[in-house]
Amino acid sequence: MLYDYFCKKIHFIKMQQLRILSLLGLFIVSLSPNLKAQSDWLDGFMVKLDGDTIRGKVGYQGNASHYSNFLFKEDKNSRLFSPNEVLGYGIDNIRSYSSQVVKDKFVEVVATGPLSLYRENKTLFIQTENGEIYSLTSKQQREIKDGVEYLNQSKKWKSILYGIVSSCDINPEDIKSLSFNEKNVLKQIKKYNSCKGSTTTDYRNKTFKKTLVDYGILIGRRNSELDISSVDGITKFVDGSYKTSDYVFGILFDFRFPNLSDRISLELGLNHQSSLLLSKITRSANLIREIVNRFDAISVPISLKIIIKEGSVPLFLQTGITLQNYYNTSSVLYTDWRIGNVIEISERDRAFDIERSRSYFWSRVGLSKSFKGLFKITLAADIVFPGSGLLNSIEKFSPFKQSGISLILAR
Amino acid sequence: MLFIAILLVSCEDNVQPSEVDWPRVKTTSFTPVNNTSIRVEGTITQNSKGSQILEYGFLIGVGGLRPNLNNNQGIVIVESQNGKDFSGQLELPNTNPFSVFNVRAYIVTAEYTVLGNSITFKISNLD
Repeated sequence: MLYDYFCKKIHFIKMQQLRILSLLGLFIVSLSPNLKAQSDWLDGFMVKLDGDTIRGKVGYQGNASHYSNFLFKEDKNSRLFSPNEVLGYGIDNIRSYSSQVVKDKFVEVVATGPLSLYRENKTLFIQTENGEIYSLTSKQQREIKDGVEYLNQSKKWKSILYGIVSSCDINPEDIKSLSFNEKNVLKQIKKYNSCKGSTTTDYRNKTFKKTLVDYGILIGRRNSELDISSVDGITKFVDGSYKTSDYVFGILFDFRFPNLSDRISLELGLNHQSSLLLSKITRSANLIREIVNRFDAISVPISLKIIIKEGSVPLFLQTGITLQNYYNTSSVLYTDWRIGNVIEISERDRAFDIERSRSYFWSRVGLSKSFKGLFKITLAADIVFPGSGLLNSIEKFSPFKQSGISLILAR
Repeated sequence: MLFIAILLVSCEDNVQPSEVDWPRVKTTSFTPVNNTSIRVEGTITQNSKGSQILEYGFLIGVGGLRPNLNNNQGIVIVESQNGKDFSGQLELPNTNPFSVFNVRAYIVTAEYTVLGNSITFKISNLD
């Protein structure tokens, strides 16, 4: 009795989606103990102002904030350190930072030698043997020539670089042809250090040595539209646009490779979505047709995520492919004849023959906000690019358009 | 948590939504009981408006015409088993092995009488 009551209630408020979410939640909870080992606390060190090096765990922050401060813990208690408290810090085999190059900032150590190279976002710093520091940037500038406006890269950095390395008989034409990037500048610094009979220690470690995993749950709302039209152009009674708005639930794993890039990650998900596309077609007061299409789909989205604007609320773009399996589908055509208050019903299963598996390209753009490094909330807009052929019928064309928003809670 | 998960998974949801004002009924199957009667099963496939079902039953007719409340040659009114599925035993109007019978489920609400799909059979095909 109680069971029936619960089941009716569950049906009434369309809880099928919640069932899936509960299972996904259980799945996440069961995974959590194992994933704690993949925490963003990484082995590292910090160098105190007196020169002592302390080993411990450094909180990896995959954004621009590692230039302004860092989290460090020797035991259980962690603390945030600013540039004026330490000489520098580092994460083993990933990267090191120095506070001795720019006032009140950490800069990433790229290479050291007679000439050393540092970086903060898109700005490079060269430190000479006698401690002088030169900043290299390449900004876009507008230039008007013969009445036409051009957008040029600033070339000032080339003069500065040539001024630093010119004592080593470096051809100015070599520098003139360079474009501004870390690799090109480092090459010149290595040449200089070599010319001075010294070596360059390269701190870059572009490997997949460290992989960090964020995991989370996703709740979204998707608008779906299935457009049915006949290939031969002759309108059939089932032709039309079937629209629905449904919830999507899922879990996701975001794999980050700090050695390679702070901005790019690989994301793997598992989503569930039930779509119900209902169409009522009234041809006359006596004849009513209704088509009920139901797709229960498990999808596996695989995507590359790129942070396109860093900051306290980073903006990201994500794109990839989603593999959809429609594990439970039904498509029923009801034809009702109404005479007065008497309704005669006929029912046809498989009004549409739905493909079991499809894959689509999809994209997401969104904003993330991290809360004390403990968890992250993301709000994103999704689009699944329409793919035809969802219906297994040679006479039907049926792009399945989907778009919506997602709320993601991750750690 | 585990209890809720089991409960959530175990509750089946087979009733389709609908935009029409009346519930829909389906004649799902029949099985012979003996040479003169059959057991028929029906189910409510849609009831989006939550109409109260006042009567569940089955009709049987002979020949090509689908039975309705006026032309049927046998009727049985049954109790619903769980509000959705119901079944009843119908006497065959005759025992001619070549007669074609049509059987269909029906339901009655305060506003509508709804007749489900018709299933056709012959006694000679029952075994």
